[in-house]
Amino acid sequence: MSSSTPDVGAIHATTPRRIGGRRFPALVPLLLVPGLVILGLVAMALQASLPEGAGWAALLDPATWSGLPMAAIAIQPSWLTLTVSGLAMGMMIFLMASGLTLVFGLMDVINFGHGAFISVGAFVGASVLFAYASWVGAPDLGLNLAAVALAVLAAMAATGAMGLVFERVIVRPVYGAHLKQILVTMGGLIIAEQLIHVIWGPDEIFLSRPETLKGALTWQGAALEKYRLLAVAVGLVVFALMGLVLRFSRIGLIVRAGVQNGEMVEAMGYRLSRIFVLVFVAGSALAGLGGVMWAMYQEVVTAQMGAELMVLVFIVVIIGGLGSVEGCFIGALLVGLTQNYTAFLEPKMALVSNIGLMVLILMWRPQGMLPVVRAK
Amino acid sequence: MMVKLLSGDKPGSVLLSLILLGIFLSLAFAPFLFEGTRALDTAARICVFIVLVASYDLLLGYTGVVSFAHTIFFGFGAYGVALASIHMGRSFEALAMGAGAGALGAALLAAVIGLFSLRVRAIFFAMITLAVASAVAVLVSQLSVLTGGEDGLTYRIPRELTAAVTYGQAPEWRIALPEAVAPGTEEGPAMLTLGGDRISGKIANYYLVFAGSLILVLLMLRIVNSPFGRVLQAIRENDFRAEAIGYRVVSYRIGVTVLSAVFAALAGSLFAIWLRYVGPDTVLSFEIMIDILLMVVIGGMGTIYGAVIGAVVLMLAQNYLKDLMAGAATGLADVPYAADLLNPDRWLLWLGVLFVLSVYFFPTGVVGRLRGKRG
Amino acid sequence: MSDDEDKINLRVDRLAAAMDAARARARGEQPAEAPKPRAEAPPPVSEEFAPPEPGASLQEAGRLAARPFGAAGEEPAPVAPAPEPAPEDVREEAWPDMDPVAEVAPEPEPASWSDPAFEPDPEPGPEADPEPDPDPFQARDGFAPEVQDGDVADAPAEDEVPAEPDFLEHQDAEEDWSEDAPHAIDAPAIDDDAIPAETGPLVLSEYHQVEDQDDGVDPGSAAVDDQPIHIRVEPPVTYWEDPEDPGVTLVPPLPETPLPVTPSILAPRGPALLRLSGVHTDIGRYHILHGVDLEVPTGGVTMLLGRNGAGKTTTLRTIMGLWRARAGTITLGGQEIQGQRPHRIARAGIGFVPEDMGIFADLTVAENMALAARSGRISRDRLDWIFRVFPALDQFWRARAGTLSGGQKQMLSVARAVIEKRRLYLIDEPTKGLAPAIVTSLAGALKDLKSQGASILMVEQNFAVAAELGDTAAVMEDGRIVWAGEMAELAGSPDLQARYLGLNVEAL
Repeated sequence: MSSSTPDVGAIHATTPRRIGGRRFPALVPLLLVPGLVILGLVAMALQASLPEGAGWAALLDPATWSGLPMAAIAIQPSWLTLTVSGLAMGMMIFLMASGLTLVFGLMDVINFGHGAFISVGAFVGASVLFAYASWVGAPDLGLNLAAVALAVLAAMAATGAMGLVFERVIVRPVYGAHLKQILVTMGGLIIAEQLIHVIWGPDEIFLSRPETLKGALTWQGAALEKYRLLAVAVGLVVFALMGLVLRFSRIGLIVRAGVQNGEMVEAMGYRLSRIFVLVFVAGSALAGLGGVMWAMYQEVVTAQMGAELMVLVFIVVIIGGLGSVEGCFIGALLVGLTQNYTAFLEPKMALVSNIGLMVLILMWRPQGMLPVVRAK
Repeated sequence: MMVKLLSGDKPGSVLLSLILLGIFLSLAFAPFLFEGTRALDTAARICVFIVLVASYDLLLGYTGVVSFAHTIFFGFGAYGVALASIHMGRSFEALAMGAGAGALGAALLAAVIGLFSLRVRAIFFAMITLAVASAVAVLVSQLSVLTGGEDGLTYRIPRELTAAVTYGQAPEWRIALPEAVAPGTEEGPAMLTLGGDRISGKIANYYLVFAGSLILVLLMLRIVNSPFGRVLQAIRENDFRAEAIGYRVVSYRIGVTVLSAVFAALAGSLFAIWLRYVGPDTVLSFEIMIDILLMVVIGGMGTIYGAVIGAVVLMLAQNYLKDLMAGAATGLADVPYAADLLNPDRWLLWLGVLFVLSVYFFPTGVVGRLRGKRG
Repeated sequence: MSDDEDKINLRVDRLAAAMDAARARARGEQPAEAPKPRAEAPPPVSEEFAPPEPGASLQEAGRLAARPFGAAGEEPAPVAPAPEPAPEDVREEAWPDMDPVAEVAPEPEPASWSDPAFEPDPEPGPEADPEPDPDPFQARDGFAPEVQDGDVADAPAEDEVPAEPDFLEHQDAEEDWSEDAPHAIDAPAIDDDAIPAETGPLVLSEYHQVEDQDDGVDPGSAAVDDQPIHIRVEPPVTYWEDPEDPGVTLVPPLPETPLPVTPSILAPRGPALLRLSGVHTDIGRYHILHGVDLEVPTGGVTMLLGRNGAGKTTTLRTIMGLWRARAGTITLGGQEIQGQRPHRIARAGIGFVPEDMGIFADLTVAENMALAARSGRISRDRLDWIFRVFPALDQFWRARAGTLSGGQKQMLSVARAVIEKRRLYLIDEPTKGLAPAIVTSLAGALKDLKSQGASILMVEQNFAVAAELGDTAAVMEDGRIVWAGEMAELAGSPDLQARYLGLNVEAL
């Protein structure tokens, strides 16, 4: 053994230390969120300081820019409101998208039927909220939160179970065939939507938020909706929990490794298909959670809401980098913020602005912000 | 001569040939075979959807690329004709200009989307097109100044193509398809009726749509059986290998995306000419996208003939099966949920089930089945 | 499992002692506690060595191989003797050649690699060395022909390249070969002739060993001619017999000289740990493996060689279950593993180093290793050993694996496979694309592993490394094994190399 070591030592002495070399670029996407928040403020201030009907030429006018700080201060409350709203939206989209991105990363399965979990979660949650209408209506924070918690648990249980069935019936027979996956999961989405119609009827359902979660707090002159703050908190907690599980648990280790090279994880003796089912179910449950949150956010539930949200979810997953939870989180915040700022600046462009965001990010990083380093 | 017209791509099975011939003859003589405006409307929609679905099959079946933006291209053609007709007045030039502009716009958009998504991973394309399609649909409904918003646009097409003009008399024997089946009754047998109508401009319009569709379908047959089409199939089978042989897979994929967009736009133009109305629901909705998917998969991917069969089957189902379901639902009104399941509005549920099952068990669709029997 | 390992280790120790003694003898000393000097008596023995009916023995051996190692007793070497002392290092010269005492050079670093755990043949003692197998050295000589001495028995490689077109027609070739390398090829000939039809496989009492043999006597003929050789019964040392089915030898001891090898008759070392028979694998629509028959003995390194595209990697991946074999059987320790999912195969005791290293780039080195230790705990001793052979892993323990250099990644990949003891290691081209210095250190680590008694099936394109590390070898071509036998024989025969590997000796 000693015969080989001198060489090795020599080699390693000359090996440049590259620890963390790739970490730094990974930080850049993180900076995008505050960057976008500031950009939002600037854009809003600019719009406010521009005279009505001014053309693009006004941007060259120094007067416009000199008035900017004042305008920024003036516009700051709405900006704050929008930022919280955007963050809340981002968090909810993150809840919906995280499962999708992990499922893709782990087994190369793209689930176009993921939206079904969102819808079902919303409907189940709404049903529970209706069943506990007295708790929801009571002006008591504890009861309200209990009702919400019940709704969330029921929704997550329902969508988790549905995920189990979905994985077995819809996804498993088409592992490894992207084309079929897209078609079959799309078929699953159609079926699920129709079944929602069968069970809950064809009409949309309106619901109201729990009593104490209605209204807004005022801070720095800005109206911050309580429910949005709650959504931000929930999103952060889930993200943190997810990070902890992924980083410090053995299953998390297997998942992270599996996302990069599932074959190798199998060759090490881990049964990846089992882990995958687990992740699929967890992802479905998270989508259900997102669905409930979204239902209370919008205060209306429709069978199509899942399919509609999938548009945002896909944008998030793509710009985050398929398979990356962190990328998904950042992407979701970016999408939520962009949507809200644009909705304020130019309401008709809200969704288009997200397409623009996606185009920009794909021009910068064609694989998304934090693409998973795949072995193959 | 026939074979040459079909670009050497024979249906490959006697039954399939007979079915195709039947469809062709039925569509060719639809105004004289079937009675009622609904039948003619169904026939025209079938023609348009055959083109639309075949153009989608270029992508899905021949190249293995899933797009959810096909309705956008369809809409480009339709809105092109609509806008041209509105702004240029009712004229054939307007129709041609609109169709041309729509096709061009569709081609450009397809190229851009393709450049962005196909460059990296084919799977991005499905997601990105889904997002873009949804964004465009929202945009169209919001830019009401230009597009009429949710209400859509109504416009006038040349008089020669409307019912206002009479060319002659239709024959007296025609088959009346059930307009609607009375609840609870079985499907009424098709019956012969006497008493033809005048041959109006509507029928001329139908033949414009029919001829246009026929030409486009033959053109697509030509394309898929050309060397270009062979490369596409090679890419679908093994893109890595195709690349290794020296074909630039990305270029081919983008190329076929553009081609398919152009055909879809032209189908949209024909649809707009037939309907004299465009709106987000009729040309851009996600439901139409799903219809297209169902038609391709059920008919059979990778064969233009599959598109023909899929379009016919689904259109007929959509138009006439619902009536049947309504009848069955009333019959089962007492059974809980069964009535809901058979509610005509839930017909998509059954199509979805059929869709999933056909992807699992009949990935080659009806055409593949028919051809398989021969081999 | 660990019981087995203990026993293996015990055996390793004893073997090491035996070897040291042998070496001591070679240096003219008397071993303190002397294991009996023994060596193979090639030719006469080889009749018993004649491998039993391939088919029957395959099954039998498979059955027995499934038994725990201790089954045959506590004897040091349950493994068939490998005649050749595995070459130590490309640069290190002079193992005691088969030309006995005179050539013996002092053992430079006995400990470094040569705990011949599964190299049960103790170092051929000087006086007892009938070692007719010059191959390991020939291999080296082949690389540097000028080193070759006249007094070393001429290798076929040196003077004459027999031009027999088909390797399997060995009989014809013998005449050619025997002129220059009499004991290299003679034995098999005698072998074949001498097998009494009813003798069949070796039975315990018939095992003979040559104790003394005069120098210069052709061992082959010496044995046959009843030279004064000391014959002693030493049953368990060299082979096993199935107690339930006496007469069936599971592990025919290896004759000194290579048998005329056919793909199905391999030079056995230990009981075949891994056995592939008739394995066909398709990748997509391409038929890649066309019936692979391969045996990997327990203990030692089996080199899977062959040109690019011959199917080596596919073979490993098929064993691992990453491709599914369409036909054929794969047994690990007698249990069929074909058709099982990779995780089950891994749990059956296979450590895998894939061709692309399979590093989890976003995980740290520590996490990579933690994942590889399936039990969830990393043995401190094992880790220390890994750090000793791969110091870089210690240095970059907390670094993301993606930031490692190519060589370090490869080391990590190997380290992951060996972090826990496995029955078999599959290592796919560990030296691919690495700098020579790193290749050397990797090879050193693998030798170390081998010396611990590991069984390794390794794909290697670097023939120097393969010749150095390998004990047995199998050559693939077009999805089949076209040659199998002692690595030494392959290394010693430029002709074989030229024919099967397309190697040009001059180019080396």
